[in-house]
Amino acid sequence: MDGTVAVLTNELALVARATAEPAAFAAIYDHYFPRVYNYVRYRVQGAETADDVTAQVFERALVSISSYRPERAPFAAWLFAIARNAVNDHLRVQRRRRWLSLEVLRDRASAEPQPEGVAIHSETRVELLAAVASLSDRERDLIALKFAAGLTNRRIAELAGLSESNVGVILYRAIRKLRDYLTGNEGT
Amino acid sequence: MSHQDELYLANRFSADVDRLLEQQDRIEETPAPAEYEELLGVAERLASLDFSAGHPLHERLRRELMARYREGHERCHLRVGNWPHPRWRVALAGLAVVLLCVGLLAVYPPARALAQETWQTVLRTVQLVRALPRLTGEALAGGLATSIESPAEAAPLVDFPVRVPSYLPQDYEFKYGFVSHLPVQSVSFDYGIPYGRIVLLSSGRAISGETYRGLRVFQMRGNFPGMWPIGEAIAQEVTVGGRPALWLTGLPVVQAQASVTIRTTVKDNEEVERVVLSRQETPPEVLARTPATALMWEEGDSLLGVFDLDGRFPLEEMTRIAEGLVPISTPPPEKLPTPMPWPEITGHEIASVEEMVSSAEFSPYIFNPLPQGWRLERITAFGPSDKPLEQRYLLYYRYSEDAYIHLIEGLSVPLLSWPNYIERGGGALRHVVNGGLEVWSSDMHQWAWEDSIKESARRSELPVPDEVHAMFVRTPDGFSLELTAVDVPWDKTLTLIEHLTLAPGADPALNSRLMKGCYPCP
Repeated sequence: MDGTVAVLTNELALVARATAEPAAFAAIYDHYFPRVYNYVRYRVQGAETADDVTAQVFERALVSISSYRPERAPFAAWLFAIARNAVNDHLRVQRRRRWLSLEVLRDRASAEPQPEGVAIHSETRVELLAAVASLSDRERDLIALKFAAGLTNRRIAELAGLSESNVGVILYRAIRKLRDYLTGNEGT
Repeated sequence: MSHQDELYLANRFSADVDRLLEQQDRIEETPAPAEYEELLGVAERLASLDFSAGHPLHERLRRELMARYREGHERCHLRVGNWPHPRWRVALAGLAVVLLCVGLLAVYPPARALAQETWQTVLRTVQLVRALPRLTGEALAGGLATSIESPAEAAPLVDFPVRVPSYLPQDYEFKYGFVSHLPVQSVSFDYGIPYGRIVLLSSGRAISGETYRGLRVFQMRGNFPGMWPIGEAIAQEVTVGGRPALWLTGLPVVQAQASVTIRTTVKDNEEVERVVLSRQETPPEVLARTPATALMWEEGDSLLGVFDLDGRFPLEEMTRIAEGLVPISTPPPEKLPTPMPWPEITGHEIASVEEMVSSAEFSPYIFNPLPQGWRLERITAFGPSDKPLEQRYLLYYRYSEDAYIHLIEGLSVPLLSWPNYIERGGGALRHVVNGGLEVWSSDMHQWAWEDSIKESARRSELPVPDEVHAMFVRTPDGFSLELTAVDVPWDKTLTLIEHLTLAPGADPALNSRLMKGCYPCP
């Protein structure tokens, strides 16, 4: 495995062509949009904020894709390093505006696009988001890198500056916390 | 569970999650504890979570990115509204005209050989030419640029060592920078004085006699055989730190208003010009052309240059700046604040201050007595009762006085939205009581200390738009409070803060013990 769970077919060739061919960049964008958006959504509060940060991620990727070196890391790891930096930049600012947090999380979670017939899914999403929000920032980051970005523990370890086994243990404990949170909620 | 057991289960769990994400079947292993299956169930729910499905952002962002891609370069812009510190906004407001996308800094791929004069013997990596050959617009695309707000941001974006000035003329400070990736990696840092003078030219005619004072430090990975148009500039061979260098005077420089797009065009007479366009591709109102000077030299495989954008410094001063360039020091890793515990979302309402005092694991503060016009409307409790650092109480105060009705007029959606709470004719103050210092990042507290107003309460105001302001209070016992006011004038909030006191019945020494690390406290 090269560091990602899902690999875009001909990814390296597409990345190499992306600086000159809009279609190549568009293919990369289409492939990675769901994973980047989900990663950001896990980590920031509010759908609108997630939109903004996701846009920043792809803008940064667009302007610096020519600096990507395939021999250093898989493209997904490179892209999610950008995503991680963008989220961290955002969180740094938000730490100074924490009074928005509760309202944003509560109000915006229910204000996301909700196509008809997905009410149950929305409820699940809000519940899971709330559970993830109860984790520490590092745990949220790792959960997002695992389940939204789909990275292997090895790549997560490289990004987060942890050992691979440490990543596994933190993820395991975080999932246990989520289970406890969700079980507690369901019981009330 | 022993550490070894946990490590084994964690590894096994990770492998199962990877298979889950790859939609592969699990490999049967030895029986696991009962909770293991529960945890895998949670993982499965997470893996099936997709916020992006059908999200309109996907298409919208795609269109925007493609449009920018086709544009060929990013808008040269300064996002004034996003700049973090108000002094930048003040400086920009004073300048009105900001740097600049300068034609002379464009590097173009050569189409055919051109007269090189003798400069090529001084600079190996680029050719300085009087004019560029006729090229297509596509070939002249200036490349994508990433704006940066500090030199340190540039270092990880390029493959060569980035340098910053260790010496600058008096009052010059970093203003703006950008990193270009096409056709070759380059970094530009602009330095200016806080309140520069401005040259305003319209169609080549001066409409103001003032000049913006700016310096640009330029660095480029020099393995690209580009051409550099210098017009009728005079070139003189000099040295920088003992290395051969070129001293150029009379360089044509274009300074432009912020938030414009820079396009390169080629005129019929083969002169190249960087034309400044607004987003609607109409000429901007402000356009300035000034004769600049530049000192250019090479070190290793990098091309370096210092540009004086209004040509006011002599060669000696420019040489001093150039020889003072030093590799940027990598900042030490940021010390992250203690992770903020995330409280539960909904909370529950409690009946009285007395109940709050009896249920809190710390000693809460309230406003007592409440000044005229204020009333405590609601108390909401959050967080587990056995964890004081995660306990929070939100006290909603309302201010209603006819004199402040006008403050609500014209208000759109409040920044803080509490359904059925904010009404016309009333202000609101949300008083958040936190269980301890660790809830906030350390810099917040630093602000609070630095902006101390009086001994009894140390405060800082963080202004935010839309009639909302926040205040952070540090009490004498080290306790932290956050106040957010909506549609309440700042002076009214200040009046209220004078009444901040421990809630009746609260232990006056408990918070101090908490701050000293006593947890749980007897």
